[in-house]
Amino acid sequence: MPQLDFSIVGFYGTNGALGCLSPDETEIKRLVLPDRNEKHDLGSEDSGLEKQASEESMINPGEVQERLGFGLRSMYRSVLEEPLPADMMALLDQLDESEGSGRSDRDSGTSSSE
Amino acid sequence: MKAKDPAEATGIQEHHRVSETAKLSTADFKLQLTDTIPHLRAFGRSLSGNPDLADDLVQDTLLKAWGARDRFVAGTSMKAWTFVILRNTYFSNMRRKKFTANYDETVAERVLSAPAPQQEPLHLADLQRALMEISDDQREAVILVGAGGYSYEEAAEIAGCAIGTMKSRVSRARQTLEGILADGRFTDASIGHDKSTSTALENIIDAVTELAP
Repeated sequence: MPQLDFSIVGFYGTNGALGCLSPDETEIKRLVLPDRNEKHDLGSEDSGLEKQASEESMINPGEVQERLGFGLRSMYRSVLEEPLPADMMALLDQLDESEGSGRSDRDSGTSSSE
Repeated sequence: MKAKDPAEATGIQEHHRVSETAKLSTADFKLQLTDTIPHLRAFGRSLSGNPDLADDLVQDTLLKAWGARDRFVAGTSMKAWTFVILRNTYFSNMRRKKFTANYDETVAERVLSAPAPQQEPLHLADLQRALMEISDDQREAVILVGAGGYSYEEAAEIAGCAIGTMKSRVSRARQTLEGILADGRFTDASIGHDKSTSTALENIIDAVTELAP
């Protein structure tokens, strides 16, 4: 079993969300990776593309399974590697602080009653 | 779909009977909860297909987990406990139509690098869209086992189903996804996706599993 490369060829926005390519980059990517939908529209005019389509339809099941497993793990891992959103940390801090102040209020109430 | 109590799903109630004192301090609870946030985001995003919805879901989960922290027992899995809260929240919201799963169009051009140089790269958008084509149960199953690396047993506990059911869901999800990705057979189901989940076959498998010794 070969070692899989889990690196992601992707783009991250400044806020940690997934971003988009610039129009130029998009064009380059499409030239390298023809869109599946476009492929069907090209039909038999281009024998090279027809041959490519025929080869793709003969992908062996093990290969598809490997790609699927790899894709799922990569998708999941890419989110794990994103920086934590500040608002989630702030939420936990807020909950912790309100808990702390509630506790100290209760503590002071107990001591005053005693 | 069963909405299982997180405590029940992670064996917390049983532990609770054994030891009333096995509780985390607030600081330790916060630390462990913080550590699970990336996993919650990954699970939520894979499940809902949308980063914003997923982050809302994670925030709801954090609030609920914090509110129920007295029920969490030290030594049990914080990740599994919070995953149950997240998936219950997600399916509850789905039922109430608070939101619908949808794939994120902003990732349309993103590419997951190929496992081997000779293989065609996989578009993240294709994978996410394909995930939205399958039922909620199957999507959850294949995310937990295929993406998150959970064992069938752990995934079954989180999803509140029998192990056999989980295996069946993963298997059918893989078959369907492979078919979609191989042929590029996408339908409008991936947009505004809302599918019922448990099938008659799964109910039968559940019943048989429960009867089995």
